[in-house]
Amino acid sequence: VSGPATRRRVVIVDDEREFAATLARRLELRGYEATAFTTAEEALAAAGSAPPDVVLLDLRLPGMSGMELLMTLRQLVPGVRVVLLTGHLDHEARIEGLRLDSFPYLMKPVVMDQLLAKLEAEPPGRGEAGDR
Amino acid sequence: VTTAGQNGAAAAEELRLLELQFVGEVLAVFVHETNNRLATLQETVGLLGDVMNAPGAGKTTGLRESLRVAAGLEGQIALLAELVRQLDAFARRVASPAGGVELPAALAELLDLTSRLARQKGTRVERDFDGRLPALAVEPAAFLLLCFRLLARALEAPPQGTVRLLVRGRGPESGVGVAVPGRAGAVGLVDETARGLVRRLGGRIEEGQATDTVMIWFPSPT
Repeated sequence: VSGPATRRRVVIVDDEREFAATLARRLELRGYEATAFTTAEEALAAAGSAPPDVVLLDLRLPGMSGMELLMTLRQLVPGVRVVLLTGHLDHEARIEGLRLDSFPYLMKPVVMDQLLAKLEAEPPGRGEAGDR
Repeated sequence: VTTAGQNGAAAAEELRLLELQFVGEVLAVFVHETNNRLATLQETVGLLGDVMNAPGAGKTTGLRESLRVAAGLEGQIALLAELVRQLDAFARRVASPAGGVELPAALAELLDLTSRLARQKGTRVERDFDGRLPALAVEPAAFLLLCFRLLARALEAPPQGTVRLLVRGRGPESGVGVAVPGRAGAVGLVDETARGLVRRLGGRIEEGQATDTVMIWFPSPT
């Protein structure tokens, strides 16, 4: 278990409370400042006072959808990196009208090494364009 | 000219496909939930490993053994997650009432599912096609039901060798077929339900007494 060079702030938004909390704990053990939220509204409120570097976002959320949160976050925190978490991206992306090559994403269950690579990757516009 | 019998058969077929779509939808919901539980389980086992691996945790024999067990569990979860992913894709394809079929993905799923059926019957199903396959403009549920029915019938009587699932291109047509070694004429593979499905899908059946292969040909989308 080794951490990043700088302590990045990671926000996890997933309505599966135990999943989000456990993933946050694992990232903390790797040196990230990770916080878990189960709704978009909670995440948005927190982002105003402590802007995240990276958001791990489930598209299926109760209340405000993951897609709405994504759009709002990008206005609130320009340059924030968003990685989608999904069980079935094709299906969920279709529902949200999302282009698959628009955002980095990870399939659940998450492979930790792949997640760490996404967290440490440069944001789009700084060397990476719509990775998977 | 259609007869009352054909109309009745078409209605029964329609009902069967609606039932299949319903099963696909229900299955997709349960698979989604199962995947969420798996994801949580994976993180929990992963955290357990992280904690046991953390500096200062010590390295007793018991701890080392626990780490091995946790790693084994993670491997099993990853295998299960892959199965769930395939089942999810299959369920969503079956539940999709319209649209076409992406042959490579659909047939890979079908092969995976029927391979398990074949293993239980002591035989094997093998693919006989490459990855550069066309899309077919046919109903996914009906197409998959047809393929599954052909394969399941092929596996009913123990074949002398491996059952092969074939895909071929010929002029303006794409064909999907099943070959059963030693079963000349592939006798009995295409039952009445399969014939109804082929009619519905706008395909044509190619079967002969001199071959152990049945092919169903469809017009390739333009």
